[in-house]
Amino acid sequence: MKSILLAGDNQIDVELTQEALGRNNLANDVVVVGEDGEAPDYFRQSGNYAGRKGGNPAVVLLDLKTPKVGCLKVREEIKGDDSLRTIPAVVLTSSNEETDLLKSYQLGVNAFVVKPVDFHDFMEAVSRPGAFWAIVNEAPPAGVRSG
Amino acid sequence: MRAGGKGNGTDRSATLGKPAQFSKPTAASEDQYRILFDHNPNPMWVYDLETLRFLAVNDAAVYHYGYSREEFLGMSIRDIRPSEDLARLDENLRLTVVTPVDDPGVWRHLTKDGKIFHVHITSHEVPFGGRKGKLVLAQNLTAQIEAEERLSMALETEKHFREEAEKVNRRLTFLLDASTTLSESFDFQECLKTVARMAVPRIADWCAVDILESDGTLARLAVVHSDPRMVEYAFELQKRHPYQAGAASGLTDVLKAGRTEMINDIPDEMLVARAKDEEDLRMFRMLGLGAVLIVPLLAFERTLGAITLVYAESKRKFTEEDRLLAEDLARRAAIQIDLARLYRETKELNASLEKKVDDRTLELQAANGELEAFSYSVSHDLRAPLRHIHGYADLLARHTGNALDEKGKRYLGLISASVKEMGVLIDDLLMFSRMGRVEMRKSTVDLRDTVESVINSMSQETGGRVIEWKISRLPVVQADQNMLRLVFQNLLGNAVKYTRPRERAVIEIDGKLNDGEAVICVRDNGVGFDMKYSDNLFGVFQRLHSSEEFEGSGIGLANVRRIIHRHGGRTWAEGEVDRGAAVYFSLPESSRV
Repeated sequence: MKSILLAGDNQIDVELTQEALGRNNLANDVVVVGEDGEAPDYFRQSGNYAGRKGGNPAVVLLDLKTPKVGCLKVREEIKGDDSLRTIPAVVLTSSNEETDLLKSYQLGVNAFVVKPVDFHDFMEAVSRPGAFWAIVNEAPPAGVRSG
Repeated sequence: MRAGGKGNGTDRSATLGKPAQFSKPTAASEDQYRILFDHNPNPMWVYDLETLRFLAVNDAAVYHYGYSREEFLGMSIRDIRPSEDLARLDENLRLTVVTPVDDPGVWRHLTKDGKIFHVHITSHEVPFGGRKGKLVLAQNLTAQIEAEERLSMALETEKHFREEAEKVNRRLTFLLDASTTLSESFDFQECLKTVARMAVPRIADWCAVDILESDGTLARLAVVHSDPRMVEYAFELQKRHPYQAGAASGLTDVLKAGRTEMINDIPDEMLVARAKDEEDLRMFRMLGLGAVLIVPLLAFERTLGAITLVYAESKRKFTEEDRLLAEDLARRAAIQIDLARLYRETKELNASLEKKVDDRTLELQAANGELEAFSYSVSHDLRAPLRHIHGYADLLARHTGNALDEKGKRYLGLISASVKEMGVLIDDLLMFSRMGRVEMRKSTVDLRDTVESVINSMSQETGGRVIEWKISRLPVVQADQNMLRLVFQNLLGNAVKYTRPRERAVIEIDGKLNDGEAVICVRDNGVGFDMKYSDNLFGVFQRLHSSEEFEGSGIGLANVRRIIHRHGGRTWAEGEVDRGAAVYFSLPESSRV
């Protein structure tokens, strides 16, 4: 099974998201990358990820405190690259502000999940898209370049 | 009737007044001819061409001139003339003596009692009693001349009246033109110039309009003169002689008393007295102030200023007619000037108001921006730590497992419950904030559909309860569908909540028209409230019941009020403890479909 790439701008949030994914038996497939350009390194198998195995992740979960900024990065790092563009990106955030939603979709994210305060609700909300994109969804054939 | 000179006629002079002998006719016809002389209806006489004495007069002459025949025969023809006409008579006699038949025309004759009357004279030379005489026929023209005089007087009167009528007509036309021209513009300056332009040259050689400013000074705002150089002088003089209330000048008096001043004769000494220096005097003289007419600009019993009219090079003088015309013009002008000034002030006021509105709008936009940033921050920064607390409390519970005793487990449970509650409060507050900020998207909303849909969505809360819904006719309105749905979610939710103690809940929703606006009411038979707290009902986090008794954050009705206000409506409530509550809201006429 392909991996889930989890990138976030807040360590605690990332940890809780990881916990939620773990409870739904998705933990082994989760790769957590920090900020500061680790995600591009992962995709290009460079830097800390030089020589890593496997292809592109099934989904990128963006655990973002500030979606406007984070999504801009995503666009730069994933959606701007033809070979990465088809990777689904899901935003996990606290915000349900309309402007954030709109901006995120305009920047090319595939799903937008508002994290509930309640931990049980939270676990459900986070693991569902993880499972969907990683297990249920049929990815485009490898090597196909879109655009 | 030619007088012979042969003495073959009877000398009748002895019979005094009887005509003397005429030549040629026979004795029989002579009598008849004499009758023609004696009884001629017009005065006739014969006078001696040399002595000018009367030789014979007829009855009509005696009758008209008042002299007896004897008196006539003792007089000369000079005696029946006014003395001032004698020269003309002598001259005429000198000229006509050579012609036998003469028509000397119209003469003035004098009666015995001194009355003058006009006669038309025809004469013919005749020999009479051996003398060279002249037979004169005098036709009295008095009646004719009097008639002519009357006619001429009548014509004169008619002419006078026609002239008067024309004057009035010219004046009215002028004033009508003035009114029309004046009313064409609301521009203050333009208005003043129009007044000055209309006055020249119709009723002045030059015209100045002075306006009293709010600070009591006088501003010369318009001068019209055919010569632009003179316009400059007029402005310059006003600058050199600034208006001083109370100073001795024609303008001051006019402004103070609100009465016209007319000076038709301005002696040079007056200019010398007024001039401050040589330059002044030179300008005064240059302007050639011949006659001055100053009329006040009176509008609604206030003196706005004055119009100064001057006759200079035309050497004309102002007449009473001019004064009336100028005053009439000034009255009309003053009203228009007043209007123009009001218009100008209103425009200025509007501009300043618009500026204020713009400034305020910018301030509001800035404030709104800040509020948005604040809510955004609340939405992210407050919720994240709550989620962390909740998450780690859960992890802690899991981690400690059975190591934690009941008390410990209860504490963790309370932490989670409090965090959840705070999460709800934050969500509600955000929602409330958003209701004030989000753009309204108006569409046609059927309130009955909305109510029914909300009731259906509440099945979880209403399940297992006996609730009688009474929905009367509800209007279709222009409104934001989602917002109105939220309104009913709150109102119906409250009604369901506060009727919980009732075995049988009755919730009515009705709508009616009141003065054009739609008034909607949600009434229940629940626990009600004390009217003295009715003002608190619609405040944020204002609760009249404890959350143990009835759950909720207390933001619902605040949201309702905010939404209804944004729609231009009002909210209010009626209730009584334990006797139910009724919450009303109105939507303005403009929202009706």
